[in-house]
Amino acid sequence: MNKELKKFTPRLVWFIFPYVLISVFTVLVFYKSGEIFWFKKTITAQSIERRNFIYGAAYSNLPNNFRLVAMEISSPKIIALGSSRVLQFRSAFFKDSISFYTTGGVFKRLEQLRVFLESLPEESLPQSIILGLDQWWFNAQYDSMIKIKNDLIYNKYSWIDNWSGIEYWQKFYSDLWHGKIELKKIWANNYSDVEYFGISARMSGFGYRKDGSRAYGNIISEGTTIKSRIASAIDSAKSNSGIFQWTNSIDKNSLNELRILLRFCKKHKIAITGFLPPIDVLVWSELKKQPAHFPHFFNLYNQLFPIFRDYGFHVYDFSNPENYGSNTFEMVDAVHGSEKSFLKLYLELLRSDTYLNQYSDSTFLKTELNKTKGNFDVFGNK
Amino acid sequence: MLFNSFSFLLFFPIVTIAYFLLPFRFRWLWLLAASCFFYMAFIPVYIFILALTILVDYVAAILMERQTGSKRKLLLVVSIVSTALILFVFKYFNFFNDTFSSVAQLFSYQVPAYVYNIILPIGLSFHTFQSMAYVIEVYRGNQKAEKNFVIYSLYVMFYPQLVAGPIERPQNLIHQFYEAHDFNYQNVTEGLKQMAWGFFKKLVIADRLAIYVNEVYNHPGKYEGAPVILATIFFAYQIYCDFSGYSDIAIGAARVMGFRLMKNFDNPYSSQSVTEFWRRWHISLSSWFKDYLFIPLGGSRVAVKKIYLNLAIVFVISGLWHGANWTFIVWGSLHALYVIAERFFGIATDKSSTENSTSNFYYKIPRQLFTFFLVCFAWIFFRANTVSDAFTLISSALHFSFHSTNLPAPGILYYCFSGIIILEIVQSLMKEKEFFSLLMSHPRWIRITAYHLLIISILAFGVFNNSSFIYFQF
Repeated sequence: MNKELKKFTPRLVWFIFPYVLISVFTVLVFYKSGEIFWFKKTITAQSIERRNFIYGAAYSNLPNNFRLVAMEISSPKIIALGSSRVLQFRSAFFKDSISFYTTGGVFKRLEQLRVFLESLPEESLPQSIILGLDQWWFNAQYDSMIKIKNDLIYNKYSWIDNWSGIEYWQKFYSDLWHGKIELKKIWANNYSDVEYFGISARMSGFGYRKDGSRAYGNIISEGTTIKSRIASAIDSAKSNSGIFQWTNSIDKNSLNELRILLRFCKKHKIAITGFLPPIDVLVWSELKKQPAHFPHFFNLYNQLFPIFRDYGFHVYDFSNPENYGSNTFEMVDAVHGSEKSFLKLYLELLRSDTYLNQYSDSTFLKTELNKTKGNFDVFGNK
Repeated sequence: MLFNSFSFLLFFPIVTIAYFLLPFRFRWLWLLAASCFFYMAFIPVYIFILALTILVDYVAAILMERQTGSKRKLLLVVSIVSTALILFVFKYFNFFNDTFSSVAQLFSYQVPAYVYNIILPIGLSFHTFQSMAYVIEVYRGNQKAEKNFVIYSLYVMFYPQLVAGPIERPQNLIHQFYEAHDFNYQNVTEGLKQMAWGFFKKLVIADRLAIYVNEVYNHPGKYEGAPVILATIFFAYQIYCDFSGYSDIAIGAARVMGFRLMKNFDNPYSSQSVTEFWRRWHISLSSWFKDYLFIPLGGSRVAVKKIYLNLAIVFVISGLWHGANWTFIVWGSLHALYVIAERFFGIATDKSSTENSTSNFYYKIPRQLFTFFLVCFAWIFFRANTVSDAFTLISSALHFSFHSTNLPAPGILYYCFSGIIILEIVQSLMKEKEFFSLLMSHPRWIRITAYHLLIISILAFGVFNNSSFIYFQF
């Protein structure tokens, strides 16, 4: 061995030893918790073998990529397409023979929906789509509000850099330092009805079920006051910020983008049922005080209706939960309805939309709804 | 492949260890294969464009060496035009087409502006200029045409400097590929230290400053006064730390394997004139323009008016080199204006005169600050998305109010200022000695602690979001 190399090697080993130690510990925790996993193996377990577990990673965007690939592999007949506001649709809403997956939470912009559908192989395209259209997607200012662009869905298979970004290690150690992570819970393997994978899932039960829907676990409970759940949304509506940024007209580019999406679906014989997702009743009242600032909430349905009609599809306005029999207590926060709220919304869809009736048993769903005692969950983690 | 990616964390040790383990005769091939892999991590098919440039210049240089007179010149022209044509198609076609269409419309002609959605091959401007330097040097007889195709390919593709320089001269680099570099303790440790410092500049300072700068510059008109001024100063440091950080990593990575690349930055914001700034900023590019454009145009040995014209040409082309956008042309023109004005008023045309005056503290500081102000003003155009955005930002900056509470991302200001202060302290210490050599006079435990602190700072405060280097787009 070269003399210089002999001098260098032990010094290097001693120098990097603490970093190796820290890395090994981190990898061990990530591995043990299920935060890192074998991509396809896990997808197969959840989508094909129908193993019941909740996957909730705390430090990566993998859930998004994971769920898109899961959807692609399992090729469900019906999908819910949209932002996190379609995450409360459940496979239990449909008959046993009907496969369902919600891709909610992955998409941040209207055009991403089309790009995603276009990227799917023909045989993976669904028969029917329940399309949630966030009202602020039709605000021309929206593009500058969001940071995540289309690359989100283009990188769905690139997992090495996703997982190992030291960015997440920084957050991990910060959370560990602040007591947000308990190693005991990470190590615990106490499964009851369902397995938990990922630090978020292990710590709080927060994650995604096999139908793509979101389990909130204990991060949001019915005990939380309504005021605290909606306070920031009301402030945003008053102060022209965030998703409630004001505008004076509906964005024509977004309407065009919607037309392109509907045209694609029509061409591929995919049935579309569109809807405007619910907003908390109290927030809705606040928006109503200043209608001139929110045409994309109050005039949107009138503009969407003829567009959907032109392609032979239907769209429904569920912006105000009271319109389908829900209320403020059944909202998880200002813009997300609970599973119970969404079951009511879906029953209303079944009443109005004859097409979806072939996939669901409304009598069974009504019975399940009536049996529910709380305001949030109906089917639990089944 | 990005230096600040997990892939590079694996790539670098594998390539380096294998480089030292392999017998000398296989090292060229190994480095070339590694460089191809590095380049193909971006858009694999673009390797063929690079291969075409390499092939054309390789053949042209060999033929050129055998010819004399007009045939030799013709081969030079063919080589330069073909290389420049690739650059034009990928980088400037849309810009010139759009500009031509707009000008035609001014004269009531309707010329449709066809826009081709072409993604610019990464680092195209860098390796194009490096190839041009080679054929020009062969033409001038300063460099022998390289017969070994692998070595010549490696000269263009050597992975540390492939995508963002330093733009090397053949005389400095090619002969190094023929030298058997044994494992050298000093080279390895110095190289690693320089890489660590480069990572610190990029990940801890530049990427943190970018958060503030992007918020202000991507929303022109949203902020007024102090935030805009602060964002401009931050951008000056961001681009410096981003690019000089890249250069440090490149130079360090090459040095670990025993290669010496040219210095690219020399504390540019300590300059006392814009002319001096250009001797310290992106040295490999400014010297390229000096050697291959300014001097062939006549340099300083022509009439004064012709010198001014030559300077204007060099700086406008330098602006255009950075990007096909009017913002870069305005940026280049502003620097031309500064340098011509300094020549006209006889300010700092000679480095030695500057150094003589440095003893006068009260003379030096205002000049340094004024130079920094001029450079920052030009950076506004460089960073703004459009010329109109730049004017909006300038106008917003003038609405100065001490009562403005509308600060973007106030939480990161502490990090931004701390990063800049650390940078300035280290750079002021580095004036006297080489990087890290200052520490060598201290006991070993102090040195080791300092290195650990540097790495821990990178891990704890670095921004790890795989953000690209600014100069990659050029």
